[in-house]
Amino acid sequence: MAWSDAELVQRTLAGDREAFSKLVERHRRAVFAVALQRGFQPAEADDLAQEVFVKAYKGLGALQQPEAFARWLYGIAGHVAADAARARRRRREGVGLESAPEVEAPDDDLVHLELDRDSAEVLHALRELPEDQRLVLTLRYLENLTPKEIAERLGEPRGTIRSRLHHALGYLQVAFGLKVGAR
Amino acid sequence: MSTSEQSGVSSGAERPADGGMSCAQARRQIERLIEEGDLKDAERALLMAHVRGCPPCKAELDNCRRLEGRLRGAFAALDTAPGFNARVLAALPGPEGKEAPEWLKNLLGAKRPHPLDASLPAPETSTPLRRSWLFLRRAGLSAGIAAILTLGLWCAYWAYTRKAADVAPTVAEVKGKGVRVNETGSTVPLAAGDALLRNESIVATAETVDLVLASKDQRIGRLALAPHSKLRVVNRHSYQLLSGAAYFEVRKDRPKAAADGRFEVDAGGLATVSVTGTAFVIDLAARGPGGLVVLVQEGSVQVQSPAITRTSVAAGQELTLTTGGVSIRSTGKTHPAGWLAALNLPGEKPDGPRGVKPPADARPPARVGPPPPVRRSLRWDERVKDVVLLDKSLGEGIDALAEALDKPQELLALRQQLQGPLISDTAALSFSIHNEMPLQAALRWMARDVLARFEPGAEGRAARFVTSTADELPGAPASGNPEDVRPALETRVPENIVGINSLAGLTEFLGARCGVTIIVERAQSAQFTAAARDTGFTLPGATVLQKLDALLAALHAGVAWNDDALNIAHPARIEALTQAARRIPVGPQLVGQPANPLWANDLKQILEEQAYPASRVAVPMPWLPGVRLHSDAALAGRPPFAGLTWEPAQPEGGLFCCRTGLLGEALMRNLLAALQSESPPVPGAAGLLSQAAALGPVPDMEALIEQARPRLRVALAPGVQPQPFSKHAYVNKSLPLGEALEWGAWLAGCGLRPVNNDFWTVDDAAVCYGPPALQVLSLQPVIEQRKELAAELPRLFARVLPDLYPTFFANTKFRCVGSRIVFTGDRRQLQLAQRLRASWEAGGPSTLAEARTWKPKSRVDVEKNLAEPFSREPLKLSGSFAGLLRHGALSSQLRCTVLVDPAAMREKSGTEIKDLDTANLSRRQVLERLASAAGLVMVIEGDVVWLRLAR
Repeated sequence: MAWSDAELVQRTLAGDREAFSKLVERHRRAVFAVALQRGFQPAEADDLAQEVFVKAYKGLGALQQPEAFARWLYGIAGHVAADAARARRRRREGVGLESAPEVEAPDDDLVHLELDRDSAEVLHALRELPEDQRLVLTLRYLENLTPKEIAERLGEPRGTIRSRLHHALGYLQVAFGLKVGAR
Repeated sequence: MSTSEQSGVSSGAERPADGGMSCAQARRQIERLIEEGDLKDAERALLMAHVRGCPPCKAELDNCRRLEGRLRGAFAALDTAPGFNARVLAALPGPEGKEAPEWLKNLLGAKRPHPLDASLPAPETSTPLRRSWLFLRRAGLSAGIAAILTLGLWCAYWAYTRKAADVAPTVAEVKGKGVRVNETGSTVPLAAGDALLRNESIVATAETVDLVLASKDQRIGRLALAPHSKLRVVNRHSYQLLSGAAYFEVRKDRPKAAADGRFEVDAGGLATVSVTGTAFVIDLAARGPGGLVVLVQEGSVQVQSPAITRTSVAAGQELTLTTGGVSIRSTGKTHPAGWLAALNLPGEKPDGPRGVKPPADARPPARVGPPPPVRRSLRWDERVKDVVLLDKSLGEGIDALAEALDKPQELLALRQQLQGPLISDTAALSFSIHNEMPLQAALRWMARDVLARFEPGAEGRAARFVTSTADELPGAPASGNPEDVRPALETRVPENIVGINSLAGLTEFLGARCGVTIIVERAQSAQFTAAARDTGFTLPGATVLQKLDALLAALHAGVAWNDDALNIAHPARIEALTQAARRIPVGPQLVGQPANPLWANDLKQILEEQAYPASRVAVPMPWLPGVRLHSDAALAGRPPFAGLTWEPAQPEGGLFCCRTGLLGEALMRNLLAALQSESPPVPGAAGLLSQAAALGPVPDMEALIEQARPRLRVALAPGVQPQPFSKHAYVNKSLPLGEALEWGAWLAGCGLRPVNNDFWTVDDAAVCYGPPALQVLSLQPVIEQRKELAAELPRLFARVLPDLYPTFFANTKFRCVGSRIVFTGDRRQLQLAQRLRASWEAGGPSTLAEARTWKPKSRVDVEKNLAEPFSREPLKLSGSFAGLLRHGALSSQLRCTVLVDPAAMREKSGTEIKDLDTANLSRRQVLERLASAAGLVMVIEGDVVWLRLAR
């Protein structure tokens, strides 16, 4: 039987790093997707995802409800990505074109993610969604969770999750010109 | 077409005659299919059957699948680089300096409740290690040594149970006829040797089914199902009692921790019963729907449900869970139902067929801790958010609300009420809830949407829906301007939204984007739908706010924040809903500083004279800048401001207080803003063509245009064909070309307007000068020159203007607001007022006395000429009116231009006049008598004499 997030958190606090590794494995794709959907390149999103887990590890003792780990973690991911986006904007505004540093070539082992045009278009459209809808959609199609499972993971009512999913899909249908017929 | 837009509140697509799925149902199932990933077999079959015969629904399903495919494809590619986990672990800080974990603190003496103590609630979470420590403390052994021993023992046991957990139990013995139902739905008789596989169900039909369970040839427990009961196998340790009652006997050495496969039974979704080695009964049938009984024979169980904390039930106790609450009582270890009597339960004799024998010291049922409700009491002010209601029936909408609020009993009862005869449950809702709002507000809106009324219920009466007419629909007074709505409406949206083809779909899209509930009031649905369809359901704008403004313009509707939603409705209705006491500030620019009561009084009179506009106008809404409110024919002519009063408020000027709606307030603010700035100048040809015009008869406008052409490009507008000035109706004696052109246009019922810098056109007067509107003329430039006249100048000006132009300014009311003249008129009137101001600036009156009688020089000359005696010898003039007017005897004496209304000339030119005696008359008097004899009236307008029909 798989350990629950709460149990893995408890074990981590007890000193079991393997338990934390299980948490990382369980949530890394979702955290990565949160960073990617903020407009970061895959390599940057990878770094941000690492930073999220390190922050989570350090702050684990302050987590009041271990069963709310997922929601707490995604919140950290959102903040980290937002902070990084702000810092990036400031760097761009503060640096004139003539004095901009050369962009370093990414490490080869991180150039692993080549998004095709269609996927890039999908991710771009996802950025138009409100954050709560984007997260629900990500968990649905990245990790194939049902609305019930997403509700349990996020500690929210199932009806709320379904509503967000409904609106997110509705928007994407319109965005991709897939809306047909009358309601 | 949206189901909500077909004939108002009627239901959606027709149900097929064969009872199959309707398109509305199919769409909902498609949504469920996409959101959940699958449907039940029967539902899927129905959906596919419908889709096969319905191209639009098939297209919808295909599009949904296409979208899913794209999403899955895009997400499939998303993953971190190889070695991510290792990188994270490498980046983690080391264990040095970390605080001691909780379990060690417990070991060193921190007090925590013991999990095996049945009288206390167990800790919320526990790891296998933690349980070991707590067990140790109870044993009272030395923490250090015992820890190691117990840990070792426990780990071995843990490993054993984990391993054993994977093996499905088998049926060692079976008594009674039962069946196994597998995942595909097929049934086989239950027999010894059968394995109880995951997701299989055991069903007892007409008789009790009694099973002994074994694993690896070891008896591990006993399971009995009462007749007509059903139990599902979740896994080796976990069962779900679906209906009826069941008896469980669990070996004492079964795991005690959830992580290790503790034995658990889901009791009909109402509670979870977890076992710590015991024999117990769960009965779902004993207390009706929503109720269950747990009776423990040996050992103890723990019962947990959403409504209660984890509760231990010991041997000889019976826990009852109903909609009214939970209770535990001692039963004296008797059996609650006759079916158990035949089971020969260990340690107990059957008590007989009647069931429960009350103990000798019977007490009222005891409660464990504070009495927690099974379903909490509903408060109508509880808030709901993000609930999809669009295209759902009212009943389905209530279901959605109930799901969001943990299914409170009150909503379930309300749902039941819809099955009565008065309220149809088939009407489809046209909106969803996006922003947080009280439940009561949501229900009120839902009721309104289906032309009903929601009553929350008073003492002794439950909440209900009642039928209503559109006129009776309650509209809560507009609830102010919430600060968070405006920023939300600034949400960006795609400029082009395709694929939306209903008004409800449009407002749903906008509302979902910005998280604001937008509801188009149902009463005007057909009219609004038609108007929205005319736009193709597309709107310009890059934000929700801009699209909202475009939508209101297209629908010619108003909007207000009403009962926690953005309510779009007929302007008259919005105005009625938003009637409220309002205080609108007026700056010192209009009333002076300190406020001048005379100015304030004039301003108040201006406001009192206002009415809702007759024509369609849009005014900016103060609360939502960028969104315009529209007026309405139903409001036209009505006074907008009730109880208007003025309150000085230093130093900022003052306040106008009145009762009015949003439109009225917007109109007042618009008006006050307009009064603070001057009307723009109206250009005229008089200033451009000052050279002399040809004197003598003017046959028609073309002749004047011809004269003007070398210096100014003028043409008749297409379709404008002024009548000739026949019978010498227009004889120019003195006018410069520009003025001659303007008077000719006026006489022809036209006007003159610039098309661009060097091209003018003679066009219809209404086109050139517009309808009557509030005109504001500032006399400040004149007052600057004559400060001593400042107080009186505006009023004097207001008196001089109609004196000079009695026809143009007949019945025009002038108000003086500070240094401004305010009147309602067209732009030609404004032009004349602006010219008079210019002449005052150039050389107007310099004293009060002069101002009272001041006239321009050209006018003075005209009046002087007319005042002189008719110089010829007294004559008695006889002839036609036209002939006499242009008779040399009169004509030669007049130096001013005499215009005759062309229609009047046509009618009166041949009027015979006999013996008009000119003795001792002035030229003016002769003209007046001539006109009067022909039934005409003479007035002096500006610098011309005008003869017109008496009105």
